[in-house]
Formats: sequence, C-alpha cells, structure tokens
Amino acid sequence: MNRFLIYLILINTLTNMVSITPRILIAGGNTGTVLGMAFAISTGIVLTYFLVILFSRFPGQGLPEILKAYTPKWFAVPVLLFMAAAWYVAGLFTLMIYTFIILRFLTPEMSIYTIVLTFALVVTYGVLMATRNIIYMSEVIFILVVPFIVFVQMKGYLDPSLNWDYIRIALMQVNQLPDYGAFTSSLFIVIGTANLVIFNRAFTTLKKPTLKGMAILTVAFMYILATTYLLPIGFGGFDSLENALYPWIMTSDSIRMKFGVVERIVFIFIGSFLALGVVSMIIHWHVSIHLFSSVFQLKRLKWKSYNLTLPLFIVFFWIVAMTLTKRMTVEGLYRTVEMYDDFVLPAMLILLVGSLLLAKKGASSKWRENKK
Amino acid sequence: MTGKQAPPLFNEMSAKFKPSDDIIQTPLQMKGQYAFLFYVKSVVDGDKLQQTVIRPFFEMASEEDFASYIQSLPNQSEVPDKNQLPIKISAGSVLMAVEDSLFLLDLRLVKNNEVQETTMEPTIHGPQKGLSEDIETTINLIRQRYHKATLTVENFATSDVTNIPVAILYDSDRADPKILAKIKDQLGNLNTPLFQSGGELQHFLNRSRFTLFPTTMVTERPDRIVYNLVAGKIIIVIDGSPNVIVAPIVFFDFMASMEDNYHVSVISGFTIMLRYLGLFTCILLPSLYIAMTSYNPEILRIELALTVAGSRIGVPYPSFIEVIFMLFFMELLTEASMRLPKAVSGTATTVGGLILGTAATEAALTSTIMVIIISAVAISTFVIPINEMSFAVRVVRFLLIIYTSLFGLVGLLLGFMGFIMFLANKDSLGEPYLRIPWKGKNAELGMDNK
Repeated sequence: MNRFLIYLILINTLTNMVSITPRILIAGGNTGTVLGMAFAISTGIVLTYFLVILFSRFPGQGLPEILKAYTPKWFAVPVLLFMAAAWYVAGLFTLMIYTFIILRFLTPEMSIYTIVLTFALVVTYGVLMATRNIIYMSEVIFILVVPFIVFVQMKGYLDPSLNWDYIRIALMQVNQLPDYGAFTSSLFIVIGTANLVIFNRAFTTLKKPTLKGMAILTVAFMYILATTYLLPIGFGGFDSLENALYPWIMTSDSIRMKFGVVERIVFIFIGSFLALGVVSMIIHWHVSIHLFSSVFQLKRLKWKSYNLTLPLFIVFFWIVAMTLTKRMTVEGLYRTVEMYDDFVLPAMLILLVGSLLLAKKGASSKWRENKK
Repeated sequence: MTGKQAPPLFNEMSAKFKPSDDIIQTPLQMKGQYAFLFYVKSVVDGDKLQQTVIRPFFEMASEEDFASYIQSLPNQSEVPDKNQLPIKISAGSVLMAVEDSLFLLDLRLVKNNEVQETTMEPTIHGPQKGLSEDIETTINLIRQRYHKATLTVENFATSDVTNIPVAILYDSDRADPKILAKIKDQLGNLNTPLFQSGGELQHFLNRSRFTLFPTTMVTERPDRIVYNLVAGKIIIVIDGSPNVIVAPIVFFDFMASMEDNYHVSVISGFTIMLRYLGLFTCILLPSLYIAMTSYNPEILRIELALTVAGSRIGVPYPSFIEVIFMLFFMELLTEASMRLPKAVSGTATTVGGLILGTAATEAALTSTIMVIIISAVAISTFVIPINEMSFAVRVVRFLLIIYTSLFGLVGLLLGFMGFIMFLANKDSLGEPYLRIPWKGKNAELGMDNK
C-alpha cells in the first residue's frame, strides 16, 4: 500500500483526537461507546478497502473526472456540490476548534479575527499548492510531529496518576448496544481515505490494498481510537468528564515534565496537534476547492493568463469562515459537529461509494461499446 | 611570394582580426613545398608549434607526407564554419593549409591549469584538491575519478559576448533525459550579455525573478561531483571558473556534507543529526525568544521564565526590536568578516562580537540571554555545509521573526509550516524540492512519472 495514502488517512485520524470527537465519545460513555467504536473500526477498514480498490480502477483521476466521464450530468453536478460543501465544512470545523483552543489556552487577549488571519495566510498558500506537493508536505510534517505525539501519549500511559480502574469501568460498558453518535464520530476519524476524491489525481499507480497496509491501519485505528477515548477517562474519571469542553487538553495538562524546559506538556500537545490540524484543514479545503471548481469553472475571469477561479473561491471560503467563527459558540460547534457526523457523513459516504460503483458500471459498459 | 598564395580564407580571417598585433600569418616554404599557418601568438604554445608542426615540415620529403602527418596528429580537428572559426582561433587553435586542404590544430597555451585547494567546502578526510580554472583540466580531473564509457561530455558554445566554453557532463545511463533536455534548452536560450563564473550562470539558470532557495548547487569538490554523477545529476563546467554547477539539486543535497561518507556510520549519523538540530535552532530560536517573552512566558518552567524576565530588566523596548537589533548587527558582522581582508577580519570579529556584545548588555540595550541566543544562532548557521543554503536560511529567519512578532507562538508554528510548504511546493527542474527520500527516486509512487 502506498505510504502517502497511509499519511492521508492517519493525519485525518490524529487531528480529531483533540477536537470535539472525544467529547462525543465520552458523552456516549454510558450507552455503548465501546461497541460503537469497534463497529466504526471494522466499518472504516472495510470502507477503506473498497474505496482504495474502486479508486485504483481510475488511476490518476479525481472524482469529478470520473463522474463526468461515466455518469449523466444531472447526477454528477449535485453529488459534486454536496461533497464540496461537506469537505468545506469539515475543514471549517478544524479551523473553528483550533481557533477556540488558541483563544482559550494560548492567547486569550487576541481577537478572533487576528487568530483566523494567522491561519489565513498559511492555509491559503497550502490550499493553492499542487496536489502532489501537499502530499509531500504532509509527509514532512507528519514525521516531524508524530514523535512528539507519541511522547505525550507514552508519558500519559506511564503516569502514576493514571487510574486504570476508570478505564476498566469504561471497558465494562461493552455489553451496551452501540451508540449511534459514537459510531459516526468514530467513523469520521477512520475515513481519511475519502480524501482520494481529489487526491487520487496524484496517485497514478494506486496499488490494491495489501495485507500489511491494512494491518498497519487496523492497529493504528485501534490504538488511536482507544487512546482518544480511554486516556482522558483514566485521568478524569468515568463520570466526571461529561461537562469538560476539551477532555484531551485537560488530560494532557495533568501530565507534567519534571525536568523539561517546558514543564506543562499541554503546550507540546497543542503545538503538535495544531500542526496536524493545519495540514488536515489544507487537505480538506484543497479537496473542497477543487470539487467546487470542477463544477464552476469561470473561464472568463482571468488576470494575465492566470485563471482566478481558485483565488475567488478561497476568498469566499475565508469570508464565510470569518463570519461563522465570530458567531459560533463552543456549545453550538459541539452540536453542529454532532449533527454533521450523524447525518452528513453517512450520506456522503453512501453517495461516494454509490457514485463510484455507478461509474465503474458506466466504465465497463463504455469499454464494451468501444470493443464492439 | 613566388609560389603559392595563401587560401582566401586566410585573408578573410586576418581581415577579421586586424589590427591586432599578436596575429601571425606566415608561410612555411622549402624547395617548392608550401604550408600556411594562421594563429594568435599569445594563446598558442610556441614550443609545441615548433615541435609538432614547423620542424616536421622541414624534415618531410613531400607535401603529401606532411599533410598526412598533420592529419594524424591527435589535436587536429575539422575546420568549422566561418562563424565558429574566429572563436577557435582566439582560443588557441592554429589554422593550417597544406596542399589544398585546411586543418585546425589545437595548440592552446594554458597558464591557469593548476589544481586548486578546496576552500569553500573543506573536509578533514577526502581529497584536499579541488578543480582547476581550465575547463580541460577540470574535465580531466572528473574523468580520472569516473572511469566509465557512459560519462558523456558535451561542449556548448554559449551566445554571450565572450564565447566562454561551457561543457555539460553526465552519465548517459543514469541521467534523466527529460532533465537533460531542459538544461540544454536553458543553456541554449541564455540571453545574457556576459557571465564569467559558475555562480553567475546558476543565477541565470534559476530563471524566475524572485528566488530564495537555490535549485542548483555550485561546488568545487571532485568527490561531490562524482557522487552526484552517480546519482544521475548533470554537471555544468565553465572555463575560467574553479567551480562547477550541479543540477537538479533538492533541499537535502544542501544538508549533505561529503564527510558523511568518510566516517563510521554512528559518527556520521551523529553529525547529520547535529546538522539538522543546528538548522532548526538557527531558524527557530530567535522567533521562539520573541514568542516566549512577549506572548507566552507561561510555557517555560517557572524558574526559566523568571530568569529570562530578570535578564530583560531595564531593556527599554519589546523583545522583537531587541531580536531584530541584535540579529542585524550579527548579520553585519558576518558580512563584514567575509568581505574584509584576512588580516583585519580577526579584529572586526573581536571588536564586534566581544566588545559590542558585552557593552550592549551592560548598557541594558539587550538582555544577556539575548546575547547567548544570538551567538548560538550564529554558530548553528555555520553548521549548514553549503553556504548558499545558510544564506537562504538567514532570510527565512527574518521572515519568521516578523510573522512571530505579529501572531505570537501560533504565528511561529504556522510560519514554520509555511516555510515547509514553500519548500515542498518548489521544484528543481521538475524534481520536487523537499521530499523525504525513503526509497529510490521513482520507486514506489508512480506519482513522479507524470
């Protein structure tokens, strides 16, 4: 399996550790998060497997090209628009979550506009990069950041104040029926493969999933999901975490480096996840902007032979992001993410697999026609 | 002159070179045998001419014998067209006419062909001698280290005023034909009136108007050249310059020193690690100081935060002015010690570094910790093995300081990511500039084959 594909998937997985996901998981703690997560992992692995196989039939093509070639237009355009919006919102969530975290933990006196502006310059550059280069960039950042994340988690698992009894209690809930919210939000974590919608353009020889690759992914998913859910519980207690806004940040703030230059580990934690968050946001918005521009390509909007469609979209993206971030509250964000995970995500996945199957059928029938 | 006249080409040539005084157009004559010579005295090796041409002429029995003798000389070549001929003659060729045929003999007198010491990229082990200013000697030095039939040398006549000879070297088995074609195309389309050295040509090859990071490398080490030839890169040699250009070059090539190959694995691993830590230090440390003192002192452990704050007592301006002020003087100092004659540069460093540093802290213009940071930054900048990269890093450092001053710790992190993105988004003749080379170039992706 291609190592760059694994980076795409794992970055999506890791980014969600700090975000709303742990809170949703913990909220479902009494009603079957454990089974929900287990179902999400198996569903995620199966979906990853099928998506990679389906996309490998169209080497070097993104979803827009596939749909335009093999499906009718009345079908392709709404599907593409829906997906573009879904990916935009996913990136927007990341932006909002990190803006709130920065506002609360790092620079409480800065205005929201300034914080968003910090992102705006770098993310705009990142989104407009070539697809291939985004993949290279994410590899570099992944390799720079992951040692810190592993360090923080090891530090957490080895900490004497981690109470394993809480974790055991949480695991005892395995006999509950799976919780739908926990299932979908865990599914969002493990479904980074869907980014292939655009990123498949860079993979000209996407190989079929190998046993080794799938095994690595399974283990990684299990470890990350388990850590996301269980480690905060081990520190904060099974019952008392329900009102915590950011369970993972609280958890990492319970860990202390006695001899380090930086004593509170939470800053290392926020820093490394912020880096991954920015990469994930760039990936999401890159997908979104290319899906949008596949539907609306404004040929006349030119400046010195340079098409301005993408810059125009990115300006739109930021205007919407600025206004919404200013208005959104943490609680509102939590509810929105829950709704997104519960309704938009399953619909998006069904549409994606369905349209790919349809395209596959269209491709094989076209191939037969050509053969005649 | 009684017998034969010189061919018309000779008169044409002498008309072109008139009224230069070092032009020699002379007939050789003995018992009805004739030969004609045309050359520029100051660039032709007189002894060699005497040995290989003039004396044999008088010893030969007939004109045919002499003609076939000349034809068999190793430095004889075809006479090119009239546009190329003056270039050849002014570079040290002798135009000859025997019987009715014309010959061109290369009898260059080269005075600048001694092999030079390596000065820019010194290593402890490895060859101590670099290249030469003469193009043939340089090619000889490279060929003597790379014994393979596939090593191809192509001469280029550039279109600038001086017609300086340029050659490209590559291993035809290993070099990528697409990149080769691109480089040839760029060399053919150079529209610059004058260039004289590797560094200058590199500047013209880079093309785009604003470049921060170099995409070609100037080197003087034969071992590095061979190392790059094996990796399929292309070498451009310029006459008169003891440096050659290597293309295409990516980020990691700048971080490699040839010494890495000469040490035991653990030692070279350690030095490589040291180098990357130095790179991160010199980019991040000044901005980190700004972020830690002006935005988030609570990140540091309490004792350290207090020490930093304590040393800043009395400093009358915010930390970013302090950093920019000190960095500015540090850059001035580096620049000055580079340009000054060696005898004076020691004094400059002492005055600048020691006296200014101490006095600045005593006058409470900077904190003592700032002085430590600046010196650490200066030292770690020198750890980067190739000079051009450390120049680029110096600029990046300032940009990062600006971004951090505006946006704080998050700005530092995002600015650094922006720097990585900028590198990843750059390409060097189609090769991605920053890409982690776990496996061979095109081994596993199929992404690069597009």
